Amino acid sequence: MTRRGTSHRPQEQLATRRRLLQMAGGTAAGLILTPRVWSSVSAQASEIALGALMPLSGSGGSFGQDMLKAAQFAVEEINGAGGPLGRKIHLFQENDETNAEAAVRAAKKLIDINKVSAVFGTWASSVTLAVAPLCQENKVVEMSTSGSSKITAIQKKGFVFRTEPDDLLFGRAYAECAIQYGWKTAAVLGLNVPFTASTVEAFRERFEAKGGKVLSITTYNENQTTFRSEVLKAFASKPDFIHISGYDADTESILKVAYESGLKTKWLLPGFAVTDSVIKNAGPAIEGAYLIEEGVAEDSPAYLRLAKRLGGDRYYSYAAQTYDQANLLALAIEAAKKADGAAINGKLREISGPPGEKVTSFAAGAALLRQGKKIDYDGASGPIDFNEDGNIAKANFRISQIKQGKSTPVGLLKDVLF
Amino acid sequence: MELKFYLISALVEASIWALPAAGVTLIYGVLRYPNFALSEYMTVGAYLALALANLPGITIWFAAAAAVVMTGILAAAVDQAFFRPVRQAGALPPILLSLGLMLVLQNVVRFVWRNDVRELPVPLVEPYEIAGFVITSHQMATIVCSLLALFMLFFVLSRTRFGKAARAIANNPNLALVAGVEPEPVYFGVLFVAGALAALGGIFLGLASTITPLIGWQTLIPIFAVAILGGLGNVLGAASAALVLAAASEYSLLVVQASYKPAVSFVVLALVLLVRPSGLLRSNL
Repeated sequence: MTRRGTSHRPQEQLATRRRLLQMAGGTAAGLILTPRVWSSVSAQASEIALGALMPLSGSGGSFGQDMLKAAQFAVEEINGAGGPLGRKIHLFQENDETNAEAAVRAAKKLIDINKVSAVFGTWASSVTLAVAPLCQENKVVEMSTSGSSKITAIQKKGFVFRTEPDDLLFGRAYAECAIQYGWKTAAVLGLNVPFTASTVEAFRERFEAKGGKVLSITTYNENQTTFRSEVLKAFASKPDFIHISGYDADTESILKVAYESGLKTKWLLPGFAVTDSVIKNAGPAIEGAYLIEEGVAEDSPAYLRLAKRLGGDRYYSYAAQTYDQANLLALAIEAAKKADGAAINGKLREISGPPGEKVTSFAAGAALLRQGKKIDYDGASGPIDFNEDGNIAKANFRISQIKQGKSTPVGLLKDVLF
Repeated sequence: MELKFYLISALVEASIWALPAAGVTLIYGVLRYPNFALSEYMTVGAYLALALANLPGITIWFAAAAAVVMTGILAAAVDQAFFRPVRQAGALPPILLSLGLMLVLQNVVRFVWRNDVRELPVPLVEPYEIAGFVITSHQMATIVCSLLALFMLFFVLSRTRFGKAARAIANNPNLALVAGVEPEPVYFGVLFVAGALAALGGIFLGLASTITPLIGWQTLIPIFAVAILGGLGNVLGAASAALVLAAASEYSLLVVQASYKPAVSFVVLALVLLVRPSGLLRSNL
């Protein structure tokens, strides 16, 4: 409240002084905070920025945590060896939530704000497909662990690679497994999603080529209230085994329904559909079921190092892949002598496949590259030789069986080919 | 043998659909708007039952009953808090509110209980074979409890004062007001009943398959198809329609591929509406 007739000078001065103090304080804070803010937003000039975009929640959530830890471990090893071109890697991480929209937002942030040269670790095919055009436009390399055959078409345009066997290879693997066990007739229950069509077709082709017979293929939808009738249809022709091509929720429901209808058979399931909670929830319904999982190079020094670091109590398939992806990116940068996406894109095939001396770590590979030699990185998830389509040309698969509530390895399928 | 198997599937499916559909039809009859959030009360009910049943010393029966009551109270409370202010605002606001509520409920569930696939802590059971029918104790419980719930609803609507008031408002809201019926307590009761029925349906759905944040959303369309087919506002109609649509869906597997199953319900709905546009039974509570 002002007294009438007072000159406003003291208030004015107070206001000006206050303003001045505010401005000074603001500027000081800005100066102090800027490097901190800056470094959380972009790597320092000498560092190389890479982006880990992984499913830390959603359907892929049970894999994402290990995938991220594996990538961080790889970066630790790489930086410990000095880093590619003597520069450290700064790993920016984002959660794709196993959701295409969230993934695109996160990828935009990684590319535009963090200025990464590569985005790796995407798991779901829908996510990889959504992020790919963005990466290709910005000349950023994308490496995924996704299986859908649709990704091959996108990979032909460059910059996109994957360390996961294409669905077609998975389909062949189911067939090879069945033949190996001497099963002659099959029924298929397939979730009505894109990956089912290509996988089941590949399965059917290989299975029938080697003497098997597919008696029925029944497609179901994700949102059904009950799967009883579809399950009955699959059992109707009395097949030797039933292959379910779906995700965790529907696989669990089907197993439960079959058990509660008194229907028994040999089950052949995708490893990614059988998460720990499915095994726990399905209990006796999943006992004895066979799983096909993408293989890892269990004897490789790379896998052994990774398993030891992550605890060694689980099967690390996707984590092995992201570990390798980080190493491959670093080695490609070293070989190209530049750190941008186009440079990486140009050298990834060279350092990952023959010809070259086999290496299983960044340190060994970098040493050889600096001597001018060629290398062939064989990683924790397998030999990883990219063909011209950015796919791995052949893959190993592991056969596991659920025994007493635990997934136990029982066999191996080596070098499954298209 | 197949026919008998499909019949049990149809009965279980109908039991699960009829309850929330009755809730939808009840709300439409008395409050005159389609409540899209009701399917999410199925999800909420299932998760509450899951959470309670996992506490030590609580049986699944008690957990289910408590979850049903809690969801009913929640539905009524939400209605009083958010829908009451727009009672006079026309037809659109409650619809929009219910759409928003649907999103909020689903994501609150997601936030609290995450996205993993869960199961009620009820052990798997082997089926009985009775006269060629393959059925488990869980399925029998689902069918019987659902029937009981529908009977109770019918009894409440036809014989109690609350039921009479609800029917009066459904029939002619102005006349009901003039006759001295207090609308808000009736609305509270209607929402409580609808929410409770939805929760019960959700629990049975969880029992039949799995519990994920999406189970309500995945059942939204079938329950509306059932409610519309049965004549919006007619509870007996909802129950009959549930049976008709479930039977049509399951038995369609005899003639068409399983991937067309969702379409079958809609073909049936379309055909019936062509002949009887107001649904199977008259729109009368």
